[in-house]
Amino acid sequence: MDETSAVQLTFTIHAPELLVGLSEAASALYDLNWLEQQSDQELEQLITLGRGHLARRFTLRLDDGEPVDLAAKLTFEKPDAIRNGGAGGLPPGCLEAFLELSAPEGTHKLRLDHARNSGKRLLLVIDRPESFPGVIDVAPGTHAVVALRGKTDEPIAPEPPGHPEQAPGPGWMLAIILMALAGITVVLSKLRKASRGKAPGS
Amino acid sequence: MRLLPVLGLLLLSSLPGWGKLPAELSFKEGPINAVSLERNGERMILYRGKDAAEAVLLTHARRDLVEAVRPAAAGAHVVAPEKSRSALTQAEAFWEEFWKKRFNYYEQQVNKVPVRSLAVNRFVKEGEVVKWQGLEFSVMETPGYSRDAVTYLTEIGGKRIAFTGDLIWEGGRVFDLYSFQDAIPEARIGGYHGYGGRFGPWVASLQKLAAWKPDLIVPARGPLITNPLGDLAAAVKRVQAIYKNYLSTNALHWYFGKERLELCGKRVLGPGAKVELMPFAEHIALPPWCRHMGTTKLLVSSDGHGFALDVGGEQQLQMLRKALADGLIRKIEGIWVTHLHNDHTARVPAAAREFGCPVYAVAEVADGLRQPGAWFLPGLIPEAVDEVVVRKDGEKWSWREFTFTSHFFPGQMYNHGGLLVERADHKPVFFIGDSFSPSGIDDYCLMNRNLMREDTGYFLCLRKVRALPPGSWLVNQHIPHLFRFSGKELDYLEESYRKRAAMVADLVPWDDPNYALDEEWAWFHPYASEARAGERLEVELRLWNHSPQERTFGIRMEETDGLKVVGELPGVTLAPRTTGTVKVPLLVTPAAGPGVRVITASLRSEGIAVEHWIETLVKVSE
Repeated sequence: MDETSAVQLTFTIHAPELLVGLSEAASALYDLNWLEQQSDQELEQLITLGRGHLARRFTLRLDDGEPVDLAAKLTFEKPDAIRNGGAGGLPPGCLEAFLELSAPEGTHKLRLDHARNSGKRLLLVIDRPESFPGVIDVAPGTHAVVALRGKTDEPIAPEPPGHPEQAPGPGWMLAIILMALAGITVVLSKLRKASRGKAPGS
Repeated sequence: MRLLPVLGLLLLSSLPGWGKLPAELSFKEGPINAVSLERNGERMILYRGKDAAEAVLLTHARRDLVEAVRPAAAGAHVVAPEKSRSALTQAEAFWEEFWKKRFNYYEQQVNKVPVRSLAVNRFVKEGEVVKWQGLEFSVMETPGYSRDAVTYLTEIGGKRIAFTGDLIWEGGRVFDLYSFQDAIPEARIGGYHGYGGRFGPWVASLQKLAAWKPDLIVPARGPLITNPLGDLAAAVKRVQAIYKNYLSTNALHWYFGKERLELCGKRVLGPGAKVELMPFAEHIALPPWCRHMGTTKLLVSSDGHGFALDVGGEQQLQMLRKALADGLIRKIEGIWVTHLHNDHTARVPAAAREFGCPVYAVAEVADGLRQPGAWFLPGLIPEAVDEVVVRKDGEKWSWREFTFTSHFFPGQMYNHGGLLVERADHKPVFFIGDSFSPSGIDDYCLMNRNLMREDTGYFLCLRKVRALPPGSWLVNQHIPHLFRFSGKELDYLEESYRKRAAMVADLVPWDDPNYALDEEWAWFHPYASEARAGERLEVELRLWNHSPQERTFGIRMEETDGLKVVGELPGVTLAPRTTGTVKVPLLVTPAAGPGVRVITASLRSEGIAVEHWIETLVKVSE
C-alpha cells in the first residue's frame, strides 16, 4: 500500500423513489421489468435525479481534503446495460452509480458524512480481502471514517448518549460497502455488489 | 290495563333513533344495514336492498357493500365515488393480476374488494350534488376507513342527515383498524410501515363532518348514530390516544429517526402535539462470532464452520459464497429462518440447495416456507423450500460449541421464530428476527397479524424476553448491534402496549379487539389453488375465535361463476381463544373457462355477521 491506489464507490439507488413517493415506489408496478422498459431519455432523467439525490445525502473526503464533487464525478452504466439489469444481483428497480477516487500514498482515511435530513440509517459495510465484511451503522447527521491503510476505522460520531459503540473491523482496507436502509448502496474500492438495505419487512 | 299503552310508548321512545328518522326513511340494522328512502312513489337504496329502486348510492367499494346493493342496482341509477371507479369497473382484472401480485406484496391494502364489477352511472367527487325526487345529496369526501369513501349529506323534514358508510360506528367507534393501513407520504413512509396510515385523513374527515353539524348519522353498519357530534368527537379523541401510544413504543424511531415520526404524529394529533418516543436501549457491537451480512447473520464456530440465520437476497447469498471461497468458513451447516418476509427468505431455497444444508424453523414459519402459495401475508416469496426441519417451541439443540433454543416468537409477524444462542464465553444472545429494535416494537403492519392477546403476540414475546438468562442480549436481523432493554424499559413497553390494547377495545365494536386488528381471523388455506375445469379440490377454512367465550360459527360460501360448493358445510364450535377448521369441497364447473376465479365466504356467530368476508382463489387452466 505504498503507492497511489484507486478507491471505487458504488451507489445503488432504488430508482422509482426518485420519481414517485416511497409508497408508490414499493408498488409491484416497479418490478423486475420496469427498468427494462425505460427509454434512453427516461433513463437519462433517472440518472440526473440520482446524481442530485446522492449529492444531497453524502459528503466524502479523503483525509482532510475538500469534499468530493459527487454530482460531477458520478458515472452510470449505459442505458442498455441498465436495461439489462446492470452488473446483476440488484433488487428490482435498482440502478448503480460509480465513483473512483485516487488515494495517493500518505492518504489514510476516507470520511463519509451522512446528511441530517436523509431520514434513513446507513450500514457501511467494509469488505476487505480474506476477511468477513465489517459494518458501521451511520445514522443521519453522523459520519464514519474508514481507514485506508493499516489503521482501525474510527467510530461513528456523535455517539448515541450513554451507549458507546465500537467500530468494527481491522484496519487494512480494500473494499467498503455502504448499505442504506432504504434506497442507497455505496461500495468503495474493489467492489462486490451489495443489497439495498431496508427497514424490516420491506 | 290503562298503563300498558303508556309503558309501551315509553319503551319505544327510548330505542336508539326513535323519533329521529323521517317517515320516508327506512333503516333496518343487519350485517350491512338496509336503508331506503321512499318518495313520490320511487325508491332510493343505500347499503343494502333487494327491491327495485330508481337510485342507488354507494359510499365506497368494499366488497360486502357492493354485493349488498347488487340486486337493487340492476336497473337503477347507480352513483359511486370517483375514487371507487377502478375497484368497481375492473374487479375481474384486479383478481387476475392479484394471482401474481400476492407474492412479494407490500402494498397492504385490504383486499376486500369486489369479485365482480358493478355498472355505475355516475361517479362523484367532493362538492358535487346528486338530485333525486326533490332532495339534494351533497358529496363530502371522507377518506379514512377506506381511501375512496364519500358521505352523502342531505336534509329531510328539517333534519340534517349524513349517510356515512363505514366512516364511523355508533358510540365513537369504527369497525376495524387494519383497514387504516396505508402510506404516510409526508413522512416518506410506505404502506407496509403505515400503521394507522389513514388515521390522519380519518380525523380530518370526522372533523369535517362535525363542522356540517349533522342531526343524524346513518351508517352502513351498526346502530343509527343519534348523537353525531358527541360520537365524532369521541372517535377523534380515541384514535389520537391510540396513535400517540403507538408512536411511543415504535421500532421505526430507530430506522427512520425522530423527525419522520413527528411528522406522522402531527397528521393525527395536530400540529402542536408532542410526540413521545422511547429512547434507544443499550446497544453494543456484535461479537466476532456473529457476522452481519445485510439481513443475514452468520454464526461462525471456533473451528470455522458457519450457520446462517436467514438468506434474504442475492447479495447475502454472494457474501456467504465469498466467505466460503475466501476460506473464512469451511462449510455452511444450517439455515435458521426467523420469519416469512422475502428480505429474509428470498434466497433460502437456493442457499439450501447450493450448500446442501438443512433449513430449520418453528412450525408457524415452516408451512409458509414449504407452501408459500397457500398463504396470503406480506412479503411471501413464490418459491418453496423443499424441506424444513421443524424445531419446537422451547426445543434445545446444539451446533458446534453453541447451544440453541428455538422459540415461537410472534412479534413483528405471527409466523415468526426466535433463536436463543448460548456459548460458554459470551452472554446469551436471542436472535429475535425483526421483532424489536432498540427503540421498541415492530408492530407497524397489522397485516402481519400483531395480535394483542395476553396469550400470544407481543405480550408473549415480552414474557419470553423477560425470562431470558440475566444479561442476555437481543439481535435484530437488520441491525448490526446487540441490544437489550432494561427492566424499566420492558415495563414501559408492556404497560404501554397493554394500555393500547384497552384503547383499541374501546374503539371497536367487537367483543374482542383482535377481530379488528387481525384481518386473518378467518382465512382459507390454501389461499390460492390451481385446477382444471371439471375437477374437484378441497380448501380449508381456518377460524380463530379471539373471543373470551365459546363461539359457534356458521359458514355460507358465496358461489360464483365457475366454482361451486359440493355438499353442505357444517358449522364449527370453538372454545375461547382457540382455532378450528372446516373442510370446503369445491367443484370447478365443467363450463368454467380459463382464468382466476374467486369464491368468498360469509360468516355468522352470535353478534358477528360478515358477508363475502374472505376469499380463496382458484386458477382454472385450459
